[in-house]
Amino acid sequence: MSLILCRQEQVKHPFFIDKLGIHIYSSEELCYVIVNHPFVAMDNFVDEELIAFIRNELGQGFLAGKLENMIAARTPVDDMLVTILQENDYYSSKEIHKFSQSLSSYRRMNRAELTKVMGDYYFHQKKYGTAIQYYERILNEWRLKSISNGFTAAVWNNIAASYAGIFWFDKAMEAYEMAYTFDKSKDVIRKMYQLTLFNPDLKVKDRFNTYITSDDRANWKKEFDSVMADGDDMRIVKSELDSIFEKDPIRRLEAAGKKVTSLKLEYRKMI
Amino acid sequence: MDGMILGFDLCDTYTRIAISDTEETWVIPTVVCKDKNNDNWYIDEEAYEHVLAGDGVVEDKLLSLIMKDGTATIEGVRYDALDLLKNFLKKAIETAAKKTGTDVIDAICFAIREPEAKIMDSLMYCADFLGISRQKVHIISHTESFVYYVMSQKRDVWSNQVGLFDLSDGSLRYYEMKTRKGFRQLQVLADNERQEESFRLDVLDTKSGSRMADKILSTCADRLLQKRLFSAIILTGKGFETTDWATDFIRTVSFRRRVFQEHSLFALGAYYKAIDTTREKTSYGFTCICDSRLKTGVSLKVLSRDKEVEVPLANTGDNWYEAKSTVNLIVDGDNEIEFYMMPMDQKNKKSVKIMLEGFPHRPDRTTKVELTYGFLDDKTMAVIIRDKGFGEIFPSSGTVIRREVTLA
Repeated sequence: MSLILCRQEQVKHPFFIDKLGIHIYSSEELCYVIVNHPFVAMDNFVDEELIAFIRNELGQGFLAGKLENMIAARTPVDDMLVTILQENDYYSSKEIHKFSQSLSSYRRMNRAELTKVMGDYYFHQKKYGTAIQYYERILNEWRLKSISNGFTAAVWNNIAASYAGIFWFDKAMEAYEMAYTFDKSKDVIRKMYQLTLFNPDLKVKDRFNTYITSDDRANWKKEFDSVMADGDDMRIVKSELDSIFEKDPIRRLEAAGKKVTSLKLEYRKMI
Repeated sequence: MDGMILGFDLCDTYTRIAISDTEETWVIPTVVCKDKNNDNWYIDEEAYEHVLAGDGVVEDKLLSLIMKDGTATIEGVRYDALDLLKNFLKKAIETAAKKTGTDVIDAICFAIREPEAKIMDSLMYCADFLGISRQKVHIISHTESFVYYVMSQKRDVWSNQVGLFDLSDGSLRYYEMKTRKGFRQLQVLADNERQEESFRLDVLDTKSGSRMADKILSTCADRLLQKRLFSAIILTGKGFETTDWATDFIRTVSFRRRVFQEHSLFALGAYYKAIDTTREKTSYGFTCICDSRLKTGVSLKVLSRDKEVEVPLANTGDNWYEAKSTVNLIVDGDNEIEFYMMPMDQKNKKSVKIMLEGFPHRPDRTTKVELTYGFLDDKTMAVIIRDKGFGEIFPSSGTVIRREVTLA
């Protein structure tokens, strides 16, 4: 067990990180975001706005000046991130070194791979809109730099999953169809079929339907039902809704309003 | 600085006040009188004049009243003990202001017999009421006041042990202090003990009573001082205003020892302390260990530049009432905070862990806590730990833990 003494920081204007949809209020949170969300930090994170926050709100004029000089000297962003971590003493030297190495390993990837990893990261953060932007960036560059069919299929597959995440099922279906053109995998057809279970208005096109046997339908339906029943998110939402409906009518309406607002906010963050 | 510096010896029956420049001291009864017809308050002779005139109601034993959360009802209006003390101090400070010609206070120090947190809190509330900044208000015990008085004298007065007899109506206390070389600076150790051999001062009105009192005191002095070496013995309190009745006692205490009388000792000690607080650097280069000071230091171990370093929360010799603060910490690893206790005898050092029960499980270093600490007396630390969360990344759960920790 160890303790870290917090800096005396009187932050009046927190720093908003658009890609994460959160405000940060301290140097410790800034370091945490850099290490735990490296793809946010690697992508034009250190800019004038962040430097002004470091200088004016965190009271670290020396670090702010150092970063300004680094920007003027066109120092790689990774070095600037490491400098921020070193000045703040939130992570140990060993941890900072490990982080620096992980940045280097990302930088060694080719551009398409790195962009996909970044897209995957946003997908796992449930930032589906941002994830789609990264995946589409790869496809736009595809004409310039050839990438394998398997890789392209994986990208379309992730685009489809991202659209499904924001309940845009017809776009998801189109993306799965594109994925299938690059990788003739039955697994893609399974996902198309399961998409129709989410949204019965959708239909699997005839050219794919011919590959689906009645056994496949039964197994995929069973798998879908079991996933839906086991989903933690579903259970949490259900228990929250149950507790709302246990309240008296006035408080029920108030709680339902709050829940709808929070779901709306969550959805906005996703897109 | 042009303001007043005040030393108060605040007792239940009388209050002695010392003021800057003149070092003049005067004594007033610790009573306050409320005019029956208006909102005027009086102290000292004026108070008794109004009582005799029949238009005033007097309230006494103000500190006892504070301790028992007492109240007084005057002409159908209820006043709590704090109201009475506020008005008493207001009038006392007004008297001092008249004597010095200024109503600005640079520093004020109260010496009270026992460092009771309740009385100390009340004095701070009084300071707020009187518009005196808390930074300018200091509260010490009689024992500490004794130390400041003695350490303000020439070195030969305190080169050895110093004893002090304080005799007042129905109370006899013996104080003792000695100096020793500490690791960094001189240490002054002082203590006091209430003696069972006390008596009412009206027994001195008769010859037989005086003889009995003298015998009681000389036996007591014999037992306390034995054949030990003292550089000074000091006598204070109303009982020693004259010593004609105490021939045997004086003979006993003055045997190969110097004896001084100082009736304003506690007020002057408080005054010297008050002066010292106005200086940029203390003139008293010693660590005081007594009932208003901590005998055990408390620290935390924190990570700084990859190394574990000790951060003191309170040091041995700190005034326990003033040793309070709030720090923000980030917890890494187990959800607990470990306090390291360092008593004067380092062999007895120990650590105490407080588990952060009820705090949510979060990744390492994402639980920020606000630690507020203070001391209830020289042996007990009170701790409040609040979950501050980690910004919007991990919002606070609002959990609060309150604990009392025994220091040694």
